[in-house]
Amino acid sequence: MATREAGKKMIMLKSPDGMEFEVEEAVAMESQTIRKMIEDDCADTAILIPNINSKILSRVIEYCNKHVPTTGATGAAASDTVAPAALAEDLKIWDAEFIKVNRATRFNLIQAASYLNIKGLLDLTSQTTIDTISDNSLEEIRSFLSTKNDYLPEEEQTIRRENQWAFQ
Amino acid sequence: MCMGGPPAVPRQEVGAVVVTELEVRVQLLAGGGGAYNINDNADILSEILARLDGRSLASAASVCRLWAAVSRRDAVWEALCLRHVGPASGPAAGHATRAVVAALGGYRRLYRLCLGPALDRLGRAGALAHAQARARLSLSLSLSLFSIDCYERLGGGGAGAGASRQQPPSSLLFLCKPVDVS
Repeated sequence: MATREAGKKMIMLKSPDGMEFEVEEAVAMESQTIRKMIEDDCADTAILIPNINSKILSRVIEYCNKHVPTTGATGAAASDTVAPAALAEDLKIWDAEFIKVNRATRFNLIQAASYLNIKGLLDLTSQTTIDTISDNSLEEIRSFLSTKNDYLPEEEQTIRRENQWAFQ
Repeated sequence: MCMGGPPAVPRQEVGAVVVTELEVRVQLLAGGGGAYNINDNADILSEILARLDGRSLASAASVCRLWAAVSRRDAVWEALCLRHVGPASGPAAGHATRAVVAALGGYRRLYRLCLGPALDRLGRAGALAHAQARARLSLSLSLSLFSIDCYERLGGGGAGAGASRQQPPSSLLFLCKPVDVS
């Protein structure tokens, strides 16, 4: 998977289910949480990523691999010839493909992005969820996200009155 | 409404429900580690709701109790306000900005009373304004309105608001200090 090149520092990431992922330091540092660990010299050996299973972690690494700034990464020479706009467009298409996952995976990815503090991934995953929420009625949202309406009828009225301006 | 129609409509609705349930079950199976509900983690919910527009955020409170609690978090409204009028890059709101907004009643109030209406007005005026100019205009406009409102609220005190009268007038002095809102 990861291309080893001389002079590239590698970081070992461990998931709680015992899988190990060796990634370039630059890729791992897409996560602000890991960046801070590395900068604080807490990353001599493998970094254990709690609460993120190997399936999700591998997806996160896949995202970081794609989004690591191309300068200095593998194939830097090739990327010099590509226009930035085309590169951004390419990333957008890649993101759209990447996020085609089931809801459970997407929520896990949000959780991972939140813990690892990867802004781009957090934006992508949350925005995708938002796109499914907006323009839907309350009942549709409740059934779509399998949340339950736990209001008493009069409570629901109170809440609705409180936020009446939103329905005008 | 016509006599021939009704039998077909309910059947369609039943079909839709079945598909939804099936879809949910398939997704739960595919999830591997069991069900994952959007409400399992309030912080994730907060991340998601912070990306809604103002009206949607306010109406999201009607979904359930947890959503109502999260949509009352001021951090969620802060994200919303900053998205509309905050800096395009660089640090988000500093402690100074947050302290002032909190003292004036919080970001939710700021949005509800000033920023939301200002954005509505700007939206109605047409999309000819440049995005940045528009953002700066709405920021100054809404903050002015918000401050005026708060002055009136605290100064008047006639509305029977006992809590507001307890605050000494000197507490408003912080408004005179320059605030970095950019």
